[in-house]
Order: sequence, then structure tokens, then C-alpha cells
Amino acid sequence: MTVSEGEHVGLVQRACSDPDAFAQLYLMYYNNVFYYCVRRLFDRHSAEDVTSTVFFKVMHNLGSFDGTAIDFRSWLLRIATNAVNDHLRDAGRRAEAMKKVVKNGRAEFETAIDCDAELLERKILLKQALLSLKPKYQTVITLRFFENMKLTEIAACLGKKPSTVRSWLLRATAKLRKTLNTATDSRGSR
Amino acid sequence: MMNDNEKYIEEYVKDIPFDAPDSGHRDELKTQLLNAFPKHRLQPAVQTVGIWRTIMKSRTSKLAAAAVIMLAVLAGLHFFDRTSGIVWADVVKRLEEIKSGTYTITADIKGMPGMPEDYVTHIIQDVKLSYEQSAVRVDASVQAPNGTRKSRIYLLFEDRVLTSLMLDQKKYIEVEIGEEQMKKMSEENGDPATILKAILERDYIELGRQIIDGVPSWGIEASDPKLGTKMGSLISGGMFDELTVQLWVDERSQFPIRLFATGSSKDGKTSMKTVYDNFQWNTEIDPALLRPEIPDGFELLAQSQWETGQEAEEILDVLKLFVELGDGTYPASLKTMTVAQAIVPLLRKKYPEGSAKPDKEVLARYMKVDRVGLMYTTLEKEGKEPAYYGDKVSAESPGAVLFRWKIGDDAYRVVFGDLSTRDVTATQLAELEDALKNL
Repeated sequence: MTVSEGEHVGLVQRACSDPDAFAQLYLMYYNNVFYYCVRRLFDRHSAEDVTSTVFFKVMHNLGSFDGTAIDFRSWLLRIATNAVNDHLRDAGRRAEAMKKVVKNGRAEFETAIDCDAELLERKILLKQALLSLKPKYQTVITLRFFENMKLTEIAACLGKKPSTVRSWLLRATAKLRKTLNTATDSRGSR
Repeated sequence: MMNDNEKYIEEYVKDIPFDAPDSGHRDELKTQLLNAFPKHRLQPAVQTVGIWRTIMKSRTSKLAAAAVIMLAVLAGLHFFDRTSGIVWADVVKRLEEIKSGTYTITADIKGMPGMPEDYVTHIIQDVKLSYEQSAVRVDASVQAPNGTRKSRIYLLFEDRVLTSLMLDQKKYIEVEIGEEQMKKMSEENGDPATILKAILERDYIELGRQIIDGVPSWGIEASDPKLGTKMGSLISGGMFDELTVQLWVDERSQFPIRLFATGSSKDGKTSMKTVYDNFQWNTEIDPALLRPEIPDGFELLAQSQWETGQEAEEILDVLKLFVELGDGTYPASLKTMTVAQAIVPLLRKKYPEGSAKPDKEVLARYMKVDRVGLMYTTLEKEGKEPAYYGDKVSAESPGAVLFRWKIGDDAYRVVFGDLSTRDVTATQLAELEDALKNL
């Protein structure tokens, strides 16, 4: 569903006090938030949990939002980023996620998605490599390569200077490539 | 322009499939969100957003707004003597005007009677409160080592009846409340308005401004064990020797957003951390939810009465239980938790597994233990000067003062270690209490 800029501003305003308007806004953005979460967490259940957290936060804080539709998506992704990072901050949970990758990675994805073996392998390696990065690097990678956001948009979303985001992205991509190469080589040599 | 690494990643992630959104979760979450939609809390925000936009877009007022923001930040950092962005009396007024509310109380309590030492009992209570319907319903779950116990409590102010359902055991208890007691309970029913008023009556401190759940909020705090009398059944009066309550209010809606309470006993055996949150105000509560519904097959376990003005006699009746069930060693204090902890081993001994259960009248007497702390603080509040010496006196010291309270000008009723009673003058009482030093 597409709405004009003016309609979007009106919808956000109404959604503060009108449940129907809030439901409309929620349905417009549910997929965006879910996809962002599942690409950060690589797990449907965790992604759904975090998506729920995000929308409850949105519901309680909507009154403080004041901006355009682009700003709204950015605001939403910032809330989602914080929620995902909170989720990952639990070291135990993170370790558990890593353990699951190593132990059941293939089975986990095979049951969930019908896809070819090569893509599946790549996904497992990507999950391992991404989750080994610092959360801020995971965030910029996801926003840049999955959400297709420009540097300035990522900067606005994270409340950082574009130069800071640029340097994070440089470091993040270098580290990620190195980890992926190492992992691919080690799998290939087995 | 992308560098090599970026191109590599872009190529690598291309076509990697991810789970698609599930419409089942989407719809379920929508229902949950709409059920929790804080209509009335956010309605004022709509107007405020408009005003806020105007302020921020007006160049001349931007600086003033920034100054206000900085003042709020600095106040939050405790740089100044704390002053509040909230007029607390207005919050009380707003709370007094609400017609209904729902909220959740989550408590972690160490030293709950009947639980292993150092076991922290996790309690969740969902409260539905309707002033219009003069009713409260509390759905509680208590996580005990052997599983979760669920209960439901209904309190109907006009009918003066408190009904407690033990859902797992399929039993229930009814307490008929005296008119005076009911009046007191409806004035002090543990709702946030009552608690805030109680905090304001004390030597409270302002906590400044903080962001709670992303919402700018202002806090207030007071410490006083007697605050417990204002907090309803969970932290009933006299449960703890130390009690600190913090209430945070949403800057915009001026309604409570969170309440923290921490309590502990002097001996460190019991402690409690409680949070009230998920507040929703003026939500519509289906009247059917507030009417006691006794499911088929539930057995009436006990019926009792709760009258006011008989507090001291009721306490004496509880103390008698320690002679009837045990060796006359009394609880060290008349805090509810202490008394309950002291009586649990005696009840376990008296009613081992498989033994006959006590009858309804006896159970009703045991249930008075729940209210001991509250009854003691009522005596204090009413100027009856109660004092209790269970930490020194047992049935083995028949002539020593165990408990006393004032019954009139220069007249006190004294309960001795053997539970006999005598009325004495203040001078006589001083002599009797002086003798306690030799114990």
C-alpha cells in the first residue's frame, strides 16, 4: 500500500490515539521490521520476538515522533537496531546462537527454507561471520546490504556522522570478508 | 563508489534466502498491540505533538525550548537541588479522576513463608481495578520450587466481600469485611493514587527526570515501612522493616509509568523487589471479569470475617496459635512475614502429609496471620501505642510483658508470656517493661 507524504504524516498523528490508524501503520511496516530482524538474527523465533518488542516500543513512543515517511522508516529501524542489539548483548544468548550455528546450522535452515545447497552453505557462513562482528558492524552491514540504505541514510538512522558510518562500514566489510574467506577455505579443505 | 570489500559482500549476500514473515505472527501481534493500546494515555499526546511541532518550528522559541531541555537534563543529572517538572498534586488529582486501570505487579521475594531459605519467589499479579464498578480483580501466579501456583482474588467494595480462588487446588476462601474495615480498604486499596498520596505525605525526595521505556518521566521516592499499608495485599502493612517506594510519572500524560518498591527485614532473612508497570488507564473492563465466578467443582475452604477495631484482640488470637501448635515460642516480631515464617513449621508438624485437614473455623483463624502486620500498624496509626517483645518473651516467662496497647487515658492492656492479660496504668507498665531488661 502506498500513501502520500501528507497522508503518512496524518496517519502517524492519528495512530497516537486511534487504534485503527495504528493497526494500519503496523501492517505497513511489519514486513520491514521482521526482515531487518531476521537478517540480523538468522532465526525466525528470535526475529518475531524482537519484532514484537519493536512494535510495542513504537506504540508507546509514537507521540515523540515528528517527521516524514522516510524519517519514520529510519526511526523504526533505529528502534529495531537497539532491540536487536539488546537481544544480542546477552553474551550467553550470543554464545548459544553461535553454538547452534555450528551444531545445527544446516538442519535449522534446511527445515525452514527450500533452497539450493550452495546458498544454504553461504547463509550458514554469513551467519557465523556476521554474529562474530561487533553489533555496530553487524548493523551497518545489514542496513547497507540488505536494507540498501545510503551512507547518509544509515547515519541518520543511527544518529551518527556519515564519516563515522563510513569508517565503520570500511572496517566491517574488511573483517566480514576476511572471516568469510577463512571459513570458506576451511570448509573447502575438509 | 564501492570498494572491493563492499562489492564482495554485496555479491556474497545476493540471493541468500531468509524466512518470510508469518501472517500468523503478524496477526497475533496485531491483536496483542491493539489489546494493549494505551488509548487514553496517548490521547493528550496528539495535542502535545501539535504544540511541540509549533514550538520547535518557531525560531524564536527554539532557544527557549532548548533551555528547558537542558534544564531537564541537568535536573536529571542531579546538579541542582531537585525540583520537579511535575506538579505532584496535579498527578494525584488526575489519578483520582480515572475510572479504571489495569497494571502488572511483578515481585521477587526472598524469605516467603513456606519456601526454602534464600529461595526467591517470583510473583506476577495482573490487576484490574474499576472505581466505577467498585471492584478489583487480581490474577496472580506464584513460582514455588514445586511449580507455579495460580490464584485469583476478587474484591467487591459495595458487597464487602473478598473472594480468593486457589485455581490449582480448586478451592476458595471468602472473607466478609466489616463496614469500617471496608471503608479503610477502599481508601487505601493499594492503587497508584493511594501510593502517591502516601509518598507525598512523607519526607519524600524528587528523583528528577529519567527516560523510562523511552518515555521522559519524573520520579519521586519515599522510605517508610508504613508505606506498606498503602500497597495492597502483596506488600501489606508491616511486612518489612525497611521499605522504599519510587514512583515514576510520564512527563507528557502525567500518569504513572512505573513504580518500584524494595523492602527488607532487619535480620536480612526477608527482602523484596517489586515493580508495577504496564499501566493502562480508563480502559474498559468487562463487568463480568470483575464479578467473582466460582467455577464448578470448587470447594469452599474457609469463611471468615474481617472487622476493624478488634486488631489487638485478633493479634492475641494469632499469638494463641503459638501456644496451641507449638511450645509457646512467639514470633520475634509482628511483621506479617516473620509471623508467617514462624507458624509454617508448626502447621507442617500439626498437619503432616495425609493427615486430616483443619476445619473451616480453624483455617479462618490461621488466615488472620496474613493481616497481623496490618493490624499492628493500624494500632500504631490510631495512637494505641502498641509494643511487642516476642524476641525476648516466651510462654516460659509468664510474668513478662509480651504485648501491650493503650486502651484509654493512662490505661494499657498488657498480655503476658502465658497470654494472660491485665489492665495497668502507665506507671505500672513502665515498671513491668523495666523488668524486661533482666531477661
